[in-house]
Amino acid sequence: MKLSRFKALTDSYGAHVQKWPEEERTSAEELLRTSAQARLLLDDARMLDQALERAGAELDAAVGNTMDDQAALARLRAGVLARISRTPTHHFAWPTRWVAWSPGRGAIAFRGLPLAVSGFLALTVGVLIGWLQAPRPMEVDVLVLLESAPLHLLTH
Amino acid sequence: MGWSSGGDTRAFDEIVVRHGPFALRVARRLVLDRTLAQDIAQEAIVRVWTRSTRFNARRARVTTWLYRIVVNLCIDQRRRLRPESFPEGFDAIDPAASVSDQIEARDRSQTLLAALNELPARQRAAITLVYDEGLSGAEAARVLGLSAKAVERLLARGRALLRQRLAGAHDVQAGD
Repeated sequence: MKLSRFKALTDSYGAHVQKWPEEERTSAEELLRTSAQARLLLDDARMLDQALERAGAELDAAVGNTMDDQAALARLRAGVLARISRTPTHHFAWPTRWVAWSPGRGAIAFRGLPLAVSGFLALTVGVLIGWLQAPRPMEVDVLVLLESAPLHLLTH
Repeated sequence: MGWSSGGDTRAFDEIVVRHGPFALRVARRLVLDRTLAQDIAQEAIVRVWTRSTRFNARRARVTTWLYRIVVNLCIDQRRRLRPESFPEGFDAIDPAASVSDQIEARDRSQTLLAALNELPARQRAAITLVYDEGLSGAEAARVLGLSAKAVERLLARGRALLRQRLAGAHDVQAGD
C-alpha cells in the first residue's frame, strides 16, 4: 500500500483500522509495521477519533441515548401500533371479491391466485397438446397417396 | 418480515422491539431534538410496515433498510431546519480533572459538537453511521445509497471540517 492511500484511509476512517475496507487492511497493517510516517499519520488521526468519541458520549447523555431507555421504546411501540392498526385492508365485492386492497400498504393482492393460474395453465397446456398431436393436413395427404396409389402409377 | 407483509401486528411488534432502539439512537444523534427523533423513528418503522411487501430479504437486510429510511428522514429534516441547539447538560465535565483541563475539555467538546451539528446532512449521517454506529464503509454506503468511494469522500470532508474547527478554537484559546 502506498502512503498516499494510507493517508486517504486515515482521513476517512480515522485510526480504527478495523473500520477500513476489509481488502485493504492487511496491506495497511504491513505498512504500519514498516513505515514511521504511517504510524505518525495514525497517531494524528487517533487524536480526532478520541475527541469525537468524547463528544459523542456527551451528546448521547444529553439526548437520552442511554443503554436502556425502556420508556422511549415503550412510547415507540405504542405509537407504531396505533398507526399500523389504523391501516385498513379493504375487500371488494364480485367481480373483485378476490382482490384485497390495502391503501396504507399500497399493495394489491389476489386471493385464490394459485387456483386461477392453475386452471388457466391447464387449459392452455391442454390446447397446446391437442394441437401438437393433431395430424397435419399435408402429411396425411402424402401418406394416403403413398399407401393407396398403385406402384405402377408412381413410376410414371 | 413475512408476518408483517401478511398483516400480523403482533409479529411486527417483535421487529419494533428488536430494531426500534437503534432507530431512536440514530435519529437522536442526527436531529438532537428528542421528540422529533421519536417521531422520525416511528415514521421510519411505520414505513417498513407499509412497504414490507416490497422488501426482498435476499437483496438486503432489514437493518440496512431501516437505517436508510431513518437517515433519509433525518437528512430531510436537517435540510429543512436550521441547526438545532444542543439540549441542556451536553457540556458535562469530568469532575476528576483539574479545573483548567475541565474547561479545555469542555470547550473542545462544545466546539466539536457545534461543528458536527453544522456539517452538511450527508457528511453528518456518514460520520454517525461509521463512527457512532460502527458500520463499515461498505455498509454505510448501502444505507446511504452511495458507492463506498463516495462515503469515503463524505467522511474525509467531514473530518477535515471538524479538524479546522478544532484548530481554529485552539488558536483562539492560545491567543487569549
